[in-house]
Amino acid sequence: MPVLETRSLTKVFGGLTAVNNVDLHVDQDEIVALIGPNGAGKTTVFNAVTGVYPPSSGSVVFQGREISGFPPHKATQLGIARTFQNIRLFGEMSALENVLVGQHCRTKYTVVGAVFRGPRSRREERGAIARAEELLEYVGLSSYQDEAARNLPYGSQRRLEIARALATQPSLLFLDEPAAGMNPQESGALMDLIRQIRAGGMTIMMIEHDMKVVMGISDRVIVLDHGEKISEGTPEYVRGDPKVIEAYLGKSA
Amino acid sequence: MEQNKPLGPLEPAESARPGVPTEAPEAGRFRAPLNPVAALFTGRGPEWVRYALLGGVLLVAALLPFVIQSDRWLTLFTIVLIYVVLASGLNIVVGFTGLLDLGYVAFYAIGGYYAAIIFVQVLKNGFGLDISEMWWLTWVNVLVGGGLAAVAGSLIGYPTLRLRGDYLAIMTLAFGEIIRIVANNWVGLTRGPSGVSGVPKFAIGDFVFKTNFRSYFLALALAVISLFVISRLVRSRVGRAWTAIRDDEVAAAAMGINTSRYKLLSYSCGAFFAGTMGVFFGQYLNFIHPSNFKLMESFVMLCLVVLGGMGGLVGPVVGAVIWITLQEWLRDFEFIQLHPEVRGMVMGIVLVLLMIFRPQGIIGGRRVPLYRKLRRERVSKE
Repeated sequence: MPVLETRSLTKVFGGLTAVNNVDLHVDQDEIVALIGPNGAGKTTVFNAVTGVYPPSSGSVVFQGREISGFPPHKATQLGIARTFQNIRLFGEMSALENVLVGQHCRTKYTVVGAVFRGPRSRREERGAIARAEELLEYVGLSSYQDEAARNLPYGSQRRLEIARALATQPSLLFLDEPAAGMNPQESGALMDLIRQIRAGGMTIMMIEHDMKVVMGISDRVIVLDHGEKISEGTPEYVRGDPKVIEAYLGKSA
Repeated sequence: MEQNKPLGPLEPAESARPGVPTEAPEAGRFRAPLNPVAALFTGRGPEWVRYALLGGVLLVAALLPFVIQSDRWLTLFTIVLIYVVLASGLNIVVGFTGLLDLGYVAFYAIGGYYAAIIFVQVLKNGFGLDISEMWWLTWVNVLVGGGLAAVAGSLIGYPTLRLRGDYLAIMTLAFGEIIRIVANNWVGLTRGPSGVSGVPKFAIGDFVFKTNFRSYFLALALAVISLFVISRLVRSRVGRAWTAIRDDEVAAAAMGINTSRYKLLSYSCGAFFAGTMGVFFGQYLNFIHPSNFKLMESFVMLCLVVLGGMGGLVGPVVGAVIWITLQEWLRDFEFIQLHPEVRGMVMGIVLVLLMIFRPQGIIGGRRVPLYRKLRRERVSKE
């Protein structure tokens, strides 16, 4: 059974069909890349699946459960985590606090626990802090622990977003252009990180424009154009698919 | 509370921008040690400095009434403490959660009217009980009044918190006025414009908090407890959720935070503190009147938060102490006695100048750590 499956997913904004009848699936422990020219509807697929807005029609099934129309916090609780194309960290909070927020849905205590700091909330808090420190070390950001997120270098902000997403303890990780704006050295390090995350038992779906990254780490590539799926297969297959070449480069006369 | 030195070292020296090539992630950076004053506000730096400063401020506050014994100033200090709590409570909503609330006075009014109505209108006039015997209720009221305000907060917040920015501000503004207008016109319940008098003072048995001296210490205790509770709320999972909503609501939702629930919670928690202070105010002055809860009060409370600095714990306290004291001190000038309306103008000028030269407020909204390391216990417990 696939971890995630969309069935004729469609999203219409006014008169614009951003995503049109897209069927896709992501299997356990797979790295799937979603590519396509600008405006192809890639981010819209992410947003419709993670609940930023409900799909216009079609369904989204996550681990055998219909989740279309669920609000984003619900999707996260079920185990779908994501990063954002334009980095959306909590700028005023430190790196560690950003990761702590990621653990929000895996901790329980609220106002009473916060004020009285009983044994349960202390235990949860201690565990959350320890785990946040671990995650920062995992993505190589330990030295920035107490630095406000907005002051981090760009590449580190991307890494922090990944750490924060991992903190929600997902079973499916969505990365929206994780290598955007990175130099080859950084994107190489990012590929290592993504492989490492997968090796730890994570299913990953990413949108990426950097073909070196896409070809380097994905098991399967799905190509969207004008909101429709035009190709799907191994990186090698997709690279040679005339429809894909046409979508990117235009029709040769 | 006069530690408003320039906080230069707090601003990080470098700020990376998207697209700027970065150093390897492993590269650590050297951070210059912060000065002790800065440590109070940032929570970085040695912990004892913060505790020492906090202790110093508390000591000064506790010794104040022994040094300054005039009734006028003791009353003022008590009022200052009320505003300290009001500003800090409002700061939960405005500073930490980033929701503009222009009707905060409504919750203050609810607390005040609750105390007045339960004692005078219900127990005394309704049941004919001797309220001077019921001293214990003065204490219970503080919590009940706060709770009532919190419930009112979630009732009004439920429909309004779906709105954003300006719309929310307008709705809250209207709510603040509605409460006052109801208080002014529902004569049967609130006695309308004649106000409710005869609200009993705080008491423990025969020990009545009737002098300004005693009331000051009561206010101080309430303020200390409130600030303690607020600081614990902020440095927790709850405070982090609030701050996350302020910084980026979409990302907060993607972290599994039920944003509407936490906004509502923030609104209720803020309202709670206003409610408790309303009860204190009523039982301190023995008299509640609609004019205590004018629209202007909401603005003053917001000004205190802005003046001191939003989003920190110290800012609203400093704002309240400086602003309310200054307002009273201005009365000493002959010119202002002749033209009392000038007082508002002076305050306006101060605020404008502040916005030009120090838009982040006197203290600045420098971040409070939103977690607390609970390491020390590991040794003893685990």
